[in-house]
Formats: sequence, C-alpha cells, structure tokens
Amino acid sequence: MKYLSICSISFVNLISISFSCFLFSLYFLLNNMVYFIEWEVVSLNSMSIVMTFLFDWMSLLFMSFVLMIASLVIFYSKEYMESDENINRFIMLVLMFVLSMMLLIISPNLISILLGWDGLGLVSYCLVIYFQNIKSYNAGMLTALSNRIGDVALLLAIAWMLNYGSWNYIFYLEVMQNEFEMLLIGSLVMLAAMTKSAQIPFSSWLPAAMAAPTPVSALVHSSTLVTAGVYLLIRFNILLSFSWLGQLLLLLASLTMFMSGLGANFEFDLKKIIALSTLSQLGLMMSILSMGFYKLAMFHLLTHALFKALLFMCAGAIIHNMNNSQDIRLMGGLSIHMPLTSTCFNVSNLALCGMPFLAGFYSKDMILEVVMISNINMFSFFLYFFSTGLTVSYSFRLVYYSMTGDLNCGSLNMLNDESWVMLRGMMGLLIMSIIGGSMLNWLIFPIPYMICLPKLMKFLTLFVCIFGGLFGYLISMTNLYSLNKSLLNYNISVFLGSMWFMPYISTYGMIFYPLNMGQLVVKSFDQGWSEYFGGQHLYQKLVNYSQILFLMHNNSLKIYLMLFVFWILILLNFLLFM
Amino acid sequence: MFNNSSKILFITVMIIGTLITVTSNSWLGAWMGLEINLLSFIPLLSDNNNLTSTESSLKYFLTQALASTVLLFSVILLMLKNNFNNEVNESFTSMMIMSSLLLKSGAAPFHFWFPNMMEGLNWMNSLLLMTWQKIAPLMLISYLNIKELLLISVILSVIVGAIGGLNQTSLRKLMSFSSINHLGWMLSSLMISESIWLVYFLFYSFLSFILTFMFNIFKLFHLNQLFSWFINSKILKFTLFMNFLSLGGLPPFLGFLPKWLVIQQLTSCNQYFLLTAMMMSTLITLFFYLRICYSAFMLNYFENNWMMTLNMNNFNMNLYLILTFFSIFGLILISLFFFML
Amino acid sequence: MAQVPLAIASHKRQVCSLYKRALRNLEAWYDRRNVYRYRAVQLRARFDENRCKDLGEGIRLLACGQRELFETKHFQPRNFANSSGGCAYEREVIPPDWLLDYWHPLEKAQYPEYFAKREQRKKEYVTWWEKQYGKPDPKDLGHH
Repeated sequence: MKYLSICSISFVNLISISFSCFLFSLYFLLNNMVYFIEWEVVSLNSMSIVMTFLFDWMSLLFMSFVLMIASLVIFYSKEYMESDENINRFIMLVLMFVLSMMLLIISPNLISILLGWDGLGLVSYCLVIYFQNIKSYNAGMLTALSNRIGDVALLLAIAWMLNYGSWNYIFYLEVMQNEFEMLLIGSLVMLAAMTKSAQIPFSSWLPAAMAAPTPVSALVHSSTLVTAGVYLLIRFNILLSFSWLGQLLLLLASLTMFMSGLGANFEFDLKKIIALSTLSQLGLMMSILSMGFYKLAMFHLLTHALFKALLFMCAGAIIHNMNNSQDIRLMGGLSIHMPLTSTCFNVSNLALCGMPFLAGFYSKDMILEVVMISNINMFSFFLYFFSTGLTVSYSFRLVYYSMTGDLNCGSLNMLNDESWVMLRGMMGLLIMSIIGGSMLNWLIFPIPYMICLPKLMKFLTLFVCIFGGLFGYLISMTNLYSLNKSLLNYNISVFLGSMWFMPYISTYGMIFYPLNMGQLVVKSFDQGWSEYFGGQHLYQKLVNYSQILFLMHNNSLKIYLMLFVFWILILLNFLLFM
Repeated sequence: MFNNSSKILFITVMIIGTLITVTSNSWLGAWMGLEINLLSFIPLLSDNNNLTSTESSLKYFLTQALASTVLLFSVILLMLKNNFNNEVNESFTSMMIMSSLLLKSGAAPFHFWFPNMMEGLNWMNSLLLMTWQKIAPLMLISYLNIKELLLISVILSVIVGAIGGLNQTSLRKLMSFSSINHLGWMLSSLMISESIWLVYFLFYSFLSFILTFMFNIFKLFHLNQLFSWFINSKILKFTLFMNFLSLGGLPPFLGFLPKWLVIQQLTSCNQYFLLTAMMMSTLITLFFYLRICYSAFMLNYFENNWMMTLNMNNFNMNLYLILTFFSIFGLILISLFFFML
Repeated sequence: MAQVPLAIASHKRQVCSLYKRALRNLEAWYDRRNVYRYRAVQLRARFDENRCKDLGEGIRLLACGQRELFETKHFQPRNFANSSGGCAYEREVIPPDWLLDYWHPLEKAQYPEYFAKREQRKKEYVTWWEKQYGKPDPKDLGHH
C-alpha cells in the first residue's frame, strides 16, 4: 500500500508527463515548431465557439515546470498531510487545480481559456478553505471575490471580441492593435491579469490565501495561480507595449513590488513573508512585461516558480516542526536543529535574492540590467532598485530571525529533521533551483542579450543587494538597551506592515456602503412595500376573487341554464331585428 | 370498467359519435354525432351504487341537451337564411352556434356546470370528460371564424381556471379548473392553427392521463391525501408532484412544450394582450401547483396514526414510471432531437 | 451579546488584566528573549511604582495605561497557534460527543461493546446527577 497511495500514483504520473512535456518543448524549440489544434464546439450566428490548443515551446515548457512542481508538491504532501483525514480530497483538488492550469496554459482562445481560468478560481477557493475555520473562510471569500473581478473583466473582453468574429485573439492582436476596441479588450484583459496576479488594488488576497495548507501555497503561489495573470499578459504582450496600458501597468506593478517588499520587512508570519516576496516578484515580472520584454518575464516566471516552491516547502517543514506556529518571532537557531531543511531554505532564499549562479540570478540580474539600458524614468528606476534591495533585506531578516540565535519557541517543542519524504521532495526542487536558471538561460536565449553598461551601473545591482542584506541584518539585530524603532514610528510601521491598509480597503472599505444600502433595501422593499403590495396583497386579493367565484358555483344549474337561454334569446333578438 | 360488456358497447358508441361529428360535412351530421356521443356517455357516467354520479349524469344530460337544442335551432336558422349553404358567414347565427359549443365543451362564461358535475364522477369518467368529450365541440368551433366571442371566452377561461383552482382542496375540482384553464389555451391555439391545437390537446390528454391514472388507483380525491398518502414511497410522491408541475406547465417539464408553441405562434400573430392575460393567469395556476408541491415536500409531512399500506396490486409501476419519464424529460428530449435535426 | 458586560470587574482585576495584556504586547514588540525580559522588568517597575495610590488616582492611571496600550498595540500580535487569533485556530474540528447519539442503529451495531458501555455510562451519569442534585421537576421534562 505504501506505493499505491493517491500521492505516489499522482506523483509518478505527473512527473512522467512533465518529462515528456519538457522533451517536447526542447524539440519544438529546436525546430521552431508550433502545433495548433482547434475543435469547433458550436457555431452560432457565424461565430464559432472553439476549443483551441496551442502547443509551442513556451506553453510546453511552462507546463513541464508546473507539472514537475505539482508532482513534487504532491509527493511532499504525502507526509505533510499524513495525519489529515481528507487527504484524498486534498490531492484530488490539487490535481484538478493542475488540470485547470494546463487548460489555461494551452488555450490561446478567450473562451476556452475561461475554462482553465474559472477552474483556477473555483479550485483555489476550495483549496484556501480546506482548513475549515473562520480565518480560512474569510481568506477564501476574499480570494474568490477578488478573482471574480478578473473573471468578469475576461467575460467583458469576450463580449468585445465579438467584434472580430472569433475569439482566437492571437490572430487579431497585431492587426487590430490601433483600434479602440482592441484597447478596450487589452485593458479588460489587463484588469483580469492584475486580479489573478494580485497587482496593487487587488493585492490583499495573496497574503490572506496563506490560510491554505502549505503544499497548496507551494503550488498555487509559486507557479500556478498567481502566474496565470502574467502568462495571460505574456500572450497579450503586443497590446501592452504600444499603448498607455503598458505605462499604467509599469507603474502599478512596480508599486506592487515596492509595497510588498516593504511590507515583508514588517511582517512576522513566515508564510506571509514568503507570500509578500511572491507578490514582489510578480510585480517584477509584470513590470518587465509592461516594458515589452515578455521573454524575460517568462524566464523569471519559470525560475521564480522553482525557488519559490522550494521556499514554501521548507517553510512547511519548519511549520510542521514548530507545531503549526508560523510566527518567526518564535523561531531561531533552526540551522542547528534542522540542517538540511535550513540548507534548502537558504539556497532558495539566496536564489530569490539573486545570488550569482543560483536560479534567480540569471533572470533577475538580466531583468535589472535590461531595465537599466532601456528608457525609463527616475521614479520607476528607483522603485525597481529599491525593491531589489528590499528583497534582499527581508530575506536576510528572515534568515536572521529563523536560522540564527537561540531557539525562541515554546518549551514543549521537538525539532527534528527526519521527515524524509518531505526532504526528498525538497531535494528535487533544490537541484532545480540551483541549476534551473542557467539551464533555462541557455535554452530560451540562443543569442545572449547585448547589454552594455558603465561600470558603476553594472555594479549597481550588486551594491543594492549587499546594502539590502546588511540593512536586513541590522534592522533585526537588537541589543539589550535598544529601543524598538518600529514602535517609535508606530503609525508608519502599522501602515507599511499591513500592506498599505489594502486588506481593510478591499474588505471593510468595499462592503460598508453596499451592506448598509442592502439593509435599507431589504427593510423597506423586500420585507416592506413590495412584500405588502406584491406578495401578501396580491395573494389576498386572488383568494378573495376565488371566494367570490365560488359563490357563483353554488350548484344552481337552473339559473345557469336559464341565463344561457336568455343569452341565446338576446342573440336571436339581434339576429332578427338588425 | 372493461369487464362490463355494456360499458364496452357505450364506449365504442361514444367514440363513434365523436368521429361522426368530426368527419361530417354538414351541421346536421355534426349535431347527430354529438347526440350519439351524449347518449352513450350518460350510461357510462351512472353508477348504481353512487348517488352523486347519477346526479352528475343528470346535470350533464340537461346541459348538453340544452346546448344541442340551441345548436340544432341555430343550424336550422342558418340553413333557412342561407339556402342550405353550409358556409358560416352570418355573425349572430354563428355566435349562437359558438355559444352552444362553448357550453358543450365547458369553456368559461358557460362553464358553471363543469366543476360541479365533475365533483360527482369517478376518475376515469372525469378523464373522459376532460379529454375525449372536448374533441367534438372544439373541432366544430374550429369551423367557425368569428373571433370576438372566442377571444372573450379564452380570456375568461384562463382567468376562471386560474382563480377557481386557487382555493381548492378537492382534487377533482382542481383538475376541472385546470381543465378550464387549458381549454382557454386550446381555444386560443384553435384561432391560429389546428395542428397546434392537436399538439396541445395530445399533450394535455397525456399529462392528465398520468395524473388521473395515479388518482384513480390510489383513490385520491382530496389534497390532504396527497400529503400523507405516499409516506412509504417517496419516489411516488415525488414523481406525482413532478407530473403536477408538468401539467401546470413549468418550463423544464413536458407541459411547457405546447404552451411554448402557443406562445410563439400568438407572438408572431401580434396577439400580445391575449397572450399577457393567458400567461398571467397561468402564473397563478403555477403558483398554486407550486404551493401544493412545496407544502407536500417540505411542510406538511405528517403521518396518520393508522395507515393503510399502499395497495400496489393493480398498479403498474413500470408503465407509470415510463409515462412519468416522458412527462418530466419530454421537453428536453424533444429539444435535443430538434437540435440534432 | 458579547459586548454586554455580565459582571463589573474590580479595579484590581482590571489592573491585572492591563498588566498581562501589556506584557503580551511587549512580547510582540521585543522578540528576543533577553530584551523582552529587560523590558518586562521595566514594565513591572512602572506598575509597582504606582502601587498604593488612592483609588481616584488609580483609576486615572488605569485609564492612561489602557490608552497607552491601545496606542502601542502591535499590528501583528503574537498569538499561540492553536488559540484564538492564531493561525491554526480551529483547524482540526473535533466533533462533539453527542454526535454519537445520532448514529443510525445499524451503524451503532457495528460497535456493540462501545455503545453498550456508553449506554451504561449514561445511566450511571443520570443516577449520579440525581443523587447530586435531586430529581428534576416533572414540569421541565418536556421539550422546550
């Protein structure tokens, strides 16, 4: 039975599909091939609703990465969710999630992409509320409703695509890019992508969704759900780079990057720190995408998926050992007690920071250098580099809190590093997050980018990173008499530590007036006037009429027949005398 | 019913009478068929053991005889005026004919005998009265081409059928008011095309057959029996109420199909006022059907202290389920077939 | 009805509660243990300093203290994982014991020994209860 559990079977299946996808993508990349499969579902008024599959190297490669991460996550959850009663439901949900992600990746058609898109929304809701407590319900509702905005935007975009006679957008993007309708479609799609990838007005759901079990976070918030928006915009990238959409997206995405990087420095929940770092990386991808470098965004998306999944998995192992506690104030000295997990954790953290020759370095460094050589204003430039520094800062702060020092947790706590199934799952991703960046770099870019910078600018990234690391270390270090700086600047730290109040704005702020209005309407209309005049009064009247009618049915046959005879006589009268 | 040789005779003669009416090409022949039909239906109604059915048969005889008299009178009048020409073009004469035929079929301004009479019948006779006895008068009405009286009759029928059923606890009266309501729809479909009328009539007969079949076997005459009778078979209860809703014309069920056809045809003939009146009144019928179903499923779930177990001996479950299947999924099936074509 | 106070807390209890909450708040701000101990001692000293003031002064100080606590409340308070407000609160649902009474007799029949013993225990509990508190009033026995 050990190898026949649902986890092992799905692991084997997914990893084999992942390998074959990888090989196919290499083949497609080598021969520059694209497969386009179309199946007409129904044709309506000369509009055909089709299911379209597009297989090119990009979708296949993305698919292979997603499947690999999913397989390792499922393998990992065999131990992580071992004591859970509903592990079968859990794994099935994860599999459904992966399936809808696959559908999303391979469809270049706005209608058929909706299948995967809505599937992601629905299953992510089911996964977030997997632990059935109030916190999860709230988080799930926030997630689902934020994503719903994007779904509506996508549906509106579908309605506007009706103008072109087909929903295969890839045929129209380039031809129609100067039209107003296409701009509208582009902005709607951008809205959809921004909700899925949690860009600034919609950011609050991503940290809230950390109420899900950690394997879900490892899958959902590294490679699948949140990158769906980025992937959609990669497909729509032509629209972005030639209109104001790109400029708007650049601003919002870099603000997201800045906000979440700053927020992560004030956060104390282990998973939320990682979620915020995901958010900042998403902002990075979105912003480079908005400048037109979609290949770079794809590259960073893939590498980020690798090390972020690893980071989440390590966090899961740590949380497991901390008795479900996620507060980093309770951790400390983990590198002594959990050496292997800590190794993975640090490697992925360094990859996140862009430590040379780890996965993140190749993509992130290239993105930053491309930013430096392209035309960009001072503000965006500042946001890019400050956020890069912040990334290193919160990573080092995290390492400082959790890895160094003494153990700070409760007295009844046993730490060990012998959860071998989880560790094996992490090892696979560890290797990938070390070699993944260089591998992908050689694969995706046959000709290297030509980047020519002065010495100072070339080293700017490195300086920023080193400074950020130092900063992160110094703000966390305390001595006995030090005053807490964030306590001194209480207002600012609360503002920054709660994501610029975005969770409040998108929950209480959103719902306050509609809820009051709804109460008013319910009181005065639904349960008031319209109930009185519509429901009760109408019914009462009808019953009264019915009673009057029965008075007439009082079994007096003679009268009826006499009346009939009179009626006939009247008719006869008319007939004779007119 | 069928083990009695005289009943077989009368049923045959009744059928022949209707056929004579439908196929005759003169008004006298039609009148003759109606008389044959009436005289063979009367013995079918009367039951030696039951006083009410005798009363009902008497009521039926009186009304139908009066209607036949007027019909004969006006037909003769017509022939006198038009030199034995069968064409009906004189409006007052044809209004008289129409009135007599409406009285025969039990449509609204002349419907008062109908629920009272049905209250005394058993279910099989009610079924005959609701369905077969309508064929001949309706076919004759279709020969007349005056709209005014027909329109008034349609609107009054649907309204009376709807409002009459609202306060009803007797199933036979409920069915008779439902029949009046459906008669209104049938008359309106007659105004447009006979084939739609035929479709409507067939579906209506089918649906009322299923319900009457159930009522007859389980001897159900009042609403409260429905609530408590099917305690030990939820499926029967459920399907029975689905059939109820189907008869009322709730969209996913078969009963909606003929209504759909009529609605579409009336819309294309610009008969919006008529259509509005009909649909509003049908909403009322649906409302009380739904109310019954709702309370049967959810609220009034009580059990009698002493219960007879269901007598399933002469109940053909398979037949019933097949019929119910069509009544529930018929619309979907037909739409699918249409879609495939 | 949660906001309606059911009892009036004495001044002493309020001060103790304030002290405890202030300590928890300090714990959230100063996360290293030694620093926290240092601050906690300071806090204790602040409380001790105003120990034997008269009641009017005490009430004013208490209000001040509560205000200060409110103004310096940590934006991410440090909660225990499994208690209210923590991240794993109510994560594992423990079905209540009376659920077993609603099992179908067929289901119960699968564990005959357990349910026999359970019925036995119930009877024992009833006898114990009646011995302890006396027979219930027959008027209260019906369904409420």
